[in-house]
Amino acid sequence: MAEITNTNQPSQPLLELNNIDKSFAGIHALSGVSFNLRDGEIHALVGENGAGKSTLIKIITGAYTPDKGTIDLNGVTYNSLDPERARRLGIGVVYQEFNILPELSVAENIFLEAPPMRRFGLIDMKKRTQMATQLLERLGQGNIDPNEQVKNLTVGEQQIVEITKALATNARILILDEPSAVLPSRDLDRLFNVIKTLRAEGHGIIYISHRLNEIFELADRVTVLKDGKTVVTKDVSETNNTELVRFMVGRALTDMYPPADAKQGNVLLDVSHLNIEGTVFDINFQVHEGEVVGLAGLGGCGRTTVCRTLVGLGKIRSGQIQYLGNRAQRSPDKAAKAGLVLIPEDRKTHGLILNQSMRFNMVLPNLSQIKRWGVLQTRTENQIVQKAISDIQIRPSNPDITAENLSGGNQQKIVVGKWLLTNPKLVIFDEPTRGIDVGAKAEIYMRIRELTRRGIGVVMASSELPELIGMCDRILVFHEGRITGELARADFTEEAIMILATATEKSALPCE
Amino acid sequence: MNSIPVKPNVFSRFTTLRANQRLVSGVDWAGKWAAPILDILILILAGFIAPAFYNPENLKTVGIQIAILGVVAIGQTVVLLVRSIDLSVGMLMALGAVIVVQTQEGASIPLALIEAFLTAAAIGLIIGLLVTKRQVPPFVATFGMMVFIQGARLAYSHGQASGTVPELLRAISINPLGGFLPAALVVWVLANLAVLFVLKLTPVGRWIYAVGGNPAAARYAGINIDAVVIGAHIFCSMSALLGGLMLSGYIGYLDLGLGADYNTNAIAAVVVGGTTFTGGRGNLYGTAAGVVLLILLLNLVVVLGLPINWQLAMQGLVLVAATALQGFRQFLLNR
Amino acid sequence: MSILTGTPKEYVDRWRPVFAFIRKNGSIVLIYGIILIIALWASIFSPAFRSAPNMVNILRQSIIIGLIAIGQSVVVITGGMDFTVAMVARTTALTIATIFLYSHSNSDLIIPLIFLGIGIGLILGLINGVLVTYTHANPFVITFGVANILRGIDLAISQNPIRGIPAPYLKIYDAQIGIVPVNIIVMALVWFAAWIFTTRTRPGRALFAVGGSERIARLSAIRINWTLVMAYVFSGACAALAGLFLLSRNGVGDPAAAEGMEFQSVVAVALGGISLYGGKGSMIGTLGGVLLIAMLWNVFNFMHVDIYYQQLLLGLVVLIAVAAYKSPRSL
Repeated sequence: MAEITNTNQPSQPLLELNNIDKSFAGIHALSGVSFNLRDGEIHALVGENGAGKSTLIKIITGAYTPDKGTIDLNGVTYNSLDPERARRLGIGVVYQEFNILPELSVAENIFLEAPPMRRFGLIDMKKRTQMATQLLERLGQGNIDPNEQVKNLTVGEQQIVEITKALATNARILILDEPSAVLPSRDLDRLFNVIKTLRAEGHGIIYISHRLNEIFELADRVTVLKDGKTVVTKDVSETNNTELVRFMVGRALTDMYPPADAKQGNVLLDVSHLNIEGTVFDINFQVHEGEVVGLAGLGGCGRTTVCRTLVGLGKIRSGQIQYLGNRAQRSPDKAAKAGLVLIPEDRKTHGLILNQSMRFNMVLPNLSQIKRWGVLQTRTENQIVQKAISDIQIRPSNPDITAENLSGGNQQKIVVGKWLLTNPKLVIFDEPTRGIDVGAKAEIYMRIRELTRRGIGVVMASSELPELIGMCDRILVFHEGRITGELARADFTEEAIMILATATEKSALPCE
Repeated sequence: MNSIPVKPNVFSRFTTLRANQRLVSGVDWAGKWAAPILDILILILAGFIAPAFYNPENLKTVGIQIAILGVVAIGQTVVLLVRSIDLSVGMLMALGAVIVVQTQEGASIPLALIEAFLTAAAIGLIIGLLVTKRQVPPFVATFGMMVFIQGARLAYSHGQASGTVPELLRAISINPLGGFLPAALVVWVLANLAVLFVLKLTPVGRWIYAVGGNPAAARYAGINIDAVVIGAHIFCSMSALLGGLMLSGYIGYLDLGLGADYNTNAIAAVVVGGTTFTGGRGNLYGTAAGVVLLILLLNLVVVLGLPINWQLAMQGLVLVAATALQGFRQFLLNR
Repeated sequence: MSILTGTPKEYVDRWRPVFAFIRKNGSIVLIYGIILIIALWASIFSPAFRSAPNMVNILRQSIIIGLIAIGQSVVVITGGMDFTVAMVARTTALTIATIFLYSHSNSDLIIPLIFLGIGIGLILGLINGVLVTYTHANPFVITFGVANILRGIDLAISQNPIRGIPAPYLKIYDAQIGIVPVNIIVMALVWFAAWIFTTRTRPGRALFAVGGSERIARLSAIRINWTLVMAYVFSGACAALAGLFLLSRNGVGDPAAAEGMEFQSVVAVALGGISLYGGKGSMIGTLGGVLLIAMLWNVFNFMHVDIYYQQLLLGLVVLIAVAAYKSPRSL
């Protein structure tokens, strides 16, 4: 565990990715991506959701194998890595979801894989504590007690344990995936100090974040990914916020979005001063009949929490949601009866019972429609299922096919179909077209337009900027649980949205 | 400091088993059709090696046993469908019988029946609450309940098996309807039809499959998961009670060892019939086939004159084999 | 006197290490606290309870179930459960008894048969472990089923008590070294070994990782299957050892031996604070659970609790124990 001195700079990079290609089921996640990391460097990686950042990381950590291209580590070239080998070669990663066991102690978690041993196969607990203390002190975190159970630490401290864990396996390259997203603002300084210490020791750090000002504070270089390609790699000192945003977005708008032609009517939904669960603050907005209101923002900014809460699935701390003039219902079925429905973000875990048929899924929230004297009428069931299938154009149209055997696009259509059958007045779409093919996307957009023509209000939360710009009448931009701005159609540009989505001032976050 | 070598060991073979489509469909098919096919095979086999099986008296016995186990298995199926399980059914059968037979001394039969059903419902309610509100693993909750019921039964009966079995109980089990069909079979078939109806054609049935198949999605669809699970447990306890009453009606007297095997057998029958432990998959047809299979096997042991321990071993074997098969099947399906 | 004086802040500071200890080992403190309370209360009511022979008796009563519970703890830590323990004990006892019978009570065979007995436990545990890991099936149900199979096999071995155990063997259970009974020494050794194993060896800690999160265990290069099999093998060995002691205590190979002990072992484990979800717990806690149960039976007898209500009370204790340990995991 010797410290690495910062001697060779800038000669051979620590890590180099050359021309990496990676596709999934015909969709290019990465094409011709090149990236390098020097030792003693903090290299930031930015890009909007779906740009390819996590695919790139998974290739570096060996979870994925590139279709084309090579990986150079310490001068040795590899065609691909596997997790074992990546770890042995000194690549460590800290995700947002921590991999530590809460019931065990800090020291034990750090050395879970290879604790120091004594004779007879016994773990040398004293030495383990000692080594843990050393590592923690090296990072300037000597105040964390190595014998404390991890579950009693704060999130910030747990994250430090994760980082220390990577160090314990001799990671020379450390990848941090949006580390600041889980931290309250007062812990950010501690994190940054740790990262800077690591840099001073000669480690190479890949830092992924949506908060551009953090990057200007921490990083030496920054690489922008867009649509699976490297746009640019620059020294941080030679660029600025606005330029980065322009690199991140800025693409030609296709015209697959049906034009907006609905008249807007009365207020359907009125949200005022809504605070949710300690992560979303002071949300205010309204939705009118026939209107499409977009919710934009980068990962973890609170959009999904707001969507869930609107149908009653989140814990409101304060504030009000008024729907059709009354207080909104606090459970999804009551909300649906009142005409307010949610198409959830994750269709497989929240939207569908995968081992049941299309028919079963579609009818599930609509049982009262096909019920007569407590019994479900098969004929009525068939009727409405057939109607829904033809309305949304689900192909194949056999309603008895099991949901898990359908394509992503059709699965999404089932979810949309089932909720539209409830005759809603306001539909909330959370990532309506994530992971589905172009044809299905277009059909969903058409459906949304139809809804607005009938006077139904739509809320659309999405990471896809073109989609928001193409479909919405207004866009509300979220950042760290607050609305940072609202854009009218005249002002729709990807850059404008992104600037609002990434603008951050540390002091804007309240303490927990 | 050190490297972490990965030594291939005898177990890595199985963790890297690739689920090719044929294997998955094959195991899935086996999971669903094992019971009915084996049923037919055994029936044919019995004709050759144990013709005494087809003796009318024996068939009547087999029929009644199928009916009794079947009724208990219906409740167990519902509970398994919502990702839970009930290990206390055997004990509950005994407790119910004790309550009805012993209370009846001097009191009225309907009152005793009401008391028994209320007790069963209360037990189901407690189990349901433990499982939903306290998140106790269902095995542990029902297992604890089993110990408790055992104690309750001993306390209630003071260790004595006394009292005569009311005529009513005999009427629902042994009495031949139309001269040959044991009443128990009719009860079983009716119960099956009723529950089949509920599962397929009522909202409650859909909720059960939804909660078992994907609780999170069920929640997003606005279904009250806790209510469904608690209801399932109450139903299971009551069907176990019915089975216990039928059993004591069949035996004709109160036996302290009543219902001991029904735990294993009910679960084995349901699992063999294609219902999985992971919820949302399975139906009553499969359970019925599983019940038939189990009773056929046990009966064959008797008809062939084999010693009683074969029965016990057989029960365990079926349970282990069925669980292993379904576990493997679920594992493959989830990959 | 000085521990009670001083300003509130000083008072808290002085006691801080104690509070930390309590917070960290909550369930253990709880159970030993309950034991202490019950012991004190029983001593007041019945002087006979307080006597040394009775205390030793309580310890003695807990040997068999204690051994079984140690093995069960290990399995529960991995997130599973071993319902075969009682039957393994019984099968071991019956098998060894049969061999004694057929060898005409040859007392030279005692030592080899003890090893054979443990071997039986190891093999049966291996079967459990392999079934659970290879088929990815539910350990609760698999062991439940195997227990039934064993029950059948046991009846096949014998339906009546098997006599013919050599006299020296019968003395093992009651043997004493000085004033300390041998069986308590054995249990202490086994318990100590289990404690060291689960707190200070890598495979032992792997049990907690596997029980806590298989995903994380896999990421830490822990061999999950091997760990699980080992847990069941150990449980089988402990149960077999208990069976050997049972044989010595009963004096005959009893086909009804160890009835209900799998229940009791799970109760002891649950009372001892080992989370039934796995990933957490300690041998010290299990020991407490075992002692508590033994003490409760003892107290019941002293208080002349109606025997028919003893089981009911035990069941009530089980339910309360089970309801009390709420886990954060949700459906």
